[in-house]
Amino acid sequence: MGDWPHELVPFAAMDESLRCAICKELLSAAMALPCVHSFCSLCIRRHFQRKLQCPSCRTPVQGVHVLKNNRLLDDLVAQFRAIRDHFRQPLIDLLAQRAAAAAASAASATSPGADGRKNLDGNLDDPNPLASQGADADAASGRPAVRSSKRRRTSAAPTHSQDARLHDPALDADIADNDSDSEFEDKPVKVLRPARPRRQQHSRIDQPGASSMISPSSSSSPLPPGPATPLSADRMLELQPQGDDAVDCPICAKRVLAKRLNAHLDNQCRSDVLAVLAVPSQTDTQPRRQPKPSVAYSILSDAKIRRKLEEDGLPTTGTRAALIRRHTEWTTLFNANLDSHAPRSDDALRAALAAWERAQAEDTKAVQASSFRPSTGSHDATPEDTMLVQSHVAKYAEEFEMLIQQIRDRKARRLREQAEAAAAGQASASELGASMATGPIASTPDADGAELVGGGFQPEDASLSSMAGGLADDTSSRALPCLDELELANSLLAQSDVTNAAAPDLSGPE
Amino acid sequence: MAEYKELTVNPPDGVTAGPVSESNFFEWEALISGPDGTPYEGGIFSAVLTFPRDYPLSPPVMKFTCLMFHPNIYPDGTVCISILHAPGDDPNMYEHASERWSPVQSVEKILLSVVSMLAEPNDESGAHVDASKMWREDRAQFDEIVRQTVRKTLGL
Repeated sequence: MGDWPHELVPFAAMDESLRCAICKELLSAAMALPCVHSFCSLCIRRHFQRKLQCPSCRTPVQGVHVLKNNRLLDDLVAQFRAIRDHFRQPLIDLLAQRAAAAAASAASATSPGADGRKNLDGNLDDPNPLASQGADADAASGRPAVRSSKRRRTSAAPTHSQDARLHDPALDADIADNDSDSEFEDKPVKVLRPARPRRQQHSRIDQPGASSMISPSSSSSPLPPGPATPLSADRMLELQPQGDDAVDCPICAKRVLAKRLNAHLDNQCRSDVLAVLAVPSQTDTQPRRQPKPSVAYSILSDAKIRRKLEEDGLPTTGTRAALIRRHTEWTTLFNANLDSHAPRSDDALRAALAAWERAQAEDTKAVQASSFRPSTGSHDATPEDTMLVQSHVAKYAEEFEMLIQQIRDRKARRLREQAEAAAAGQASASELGASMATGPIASTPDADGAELVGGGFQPEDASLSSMAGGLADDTSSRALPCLDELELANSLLAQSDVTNAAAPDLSGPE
Repeated sequence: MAEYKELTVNPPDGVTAGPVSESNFFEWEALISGPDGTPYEGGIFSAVLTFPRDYPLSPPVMKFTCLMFHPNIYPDGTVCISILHAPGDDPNMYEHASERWSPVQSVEKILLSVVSMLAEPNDESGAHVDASKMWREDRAQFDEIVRQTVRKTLGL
């Protein structure tokens, strides 16, 4: 429903339709997915960093390149925003006024409903929202209804512009700005007239009303120049290209001098084409910023990532993870910005990035301080975690030990087989044993392998901590896909001294 | 957050929610009234919702701050329902991706899900093992315990 009253349900429905399902704000730079669900550019780009699927229907997508600008939606949002900003409050006031008047007319026995109704109808196309707000304030403050309705009548259909001036100080200011009424006639406020054809005969009244709507003194944000706004005749003439101006041919889209355009068209677009370089077009003077490609950070060194950040004028401090996060967010902000109608400058984006980073830092602090932790939080150990880990480890020590043993046996067997195959031709069994004892094995470059082999040959009653340590090194240095459980067990074991002391008892029978 | 405005202007039946303090919008307090026709009927349950900084990309955590006896609520009060689980982590390995958190969800939807969870527990994912077992095997006793906790939370 939003913040629209019940009587304005259609507006509420429209309001809701034009909101981004992710941030719940009015769409900004709407982007359509292949499933034609649309979201703010920044929202959906951030979401795609997590998961490549539509947040609404969960259809998988391939990447950010599938996003398409939904300009129609952008235009709708811009126009709706203008409606919201300028007509929502007056409409709500009007409704309140009508309710108050209905109550008043029902209450008063002397003046039956007809009089009040007439005033209200006149008020519906009241050109001056300020006057109606003033009247509403009267009604709300509980002054006699007769007075407020009288006032409304004057503001709704004044016969003399002086009436309106007397009632509204904001209008006085407006009129004081203009030296004479004739100058007034030429103001661009005319553009609002076509929307109110019924009031054209009261042009002098109409214009102060209209100008108060777009003047900064009456509203917080000025009416944005909508694309649908008709231009005055003078302005149209100004915009007409003159003889020596270069224009785009409507057929072949090449640059042609305005005075030669007809000749160009008569020759089937073959003559009179200007050289491209001779006439720099407006778009050439302001080169369009290109979207930044996504980067495979895993193949870049820290220095290269720093250089990338430096190229864009960003800070290059922090850990590798921080650098990557910063560059990812920068790319997202930058590309989302390009999708919008009026992109912000790079400096504004840098400021936004800095603010984002400050918020992130605060969040990390807050998470560490708070007793609640988001499920996606990092793996920093808190005291509660350690407690949990210890109890968990104690509970499953036997199973962990069994799994560790299994993996150790398997690895030892595999290494033995490899070594045997490599040494089959030349080495005797004693040489193999020697090479295992000294460590380096020709076929396995990583030192962990050797340590493991050593572990494999250790007697059963070896201390658990050394085995766990060796395995933990092993699992952290090379990813073992199917061994999440083991990895967990190892990291847990490495952390917990308590269990290391307790576990050998359990591991005995193995 | 536009969501807060929406919730205050048009609160859904039986729940209210809002930030604990004006200075921290990442911690919300929610009050949920027990749905009619269930043993939770008549109870008012308080909970805290903690939002991650990247909300709504990541789901919030919901934790009841009052005594709760329910198959899908951990003994410490944390709520375990699929829409509060991020698509990546599946603690129980059976939830459909379609039931998981998505940024298009909202506080209102979470609270409504929790209300319906109170009415219809999912005994396949027991967060509270004793409660799940009792709910399945001895409904009468389960209802009795729930009514007791409700009375306790109301201070009767």
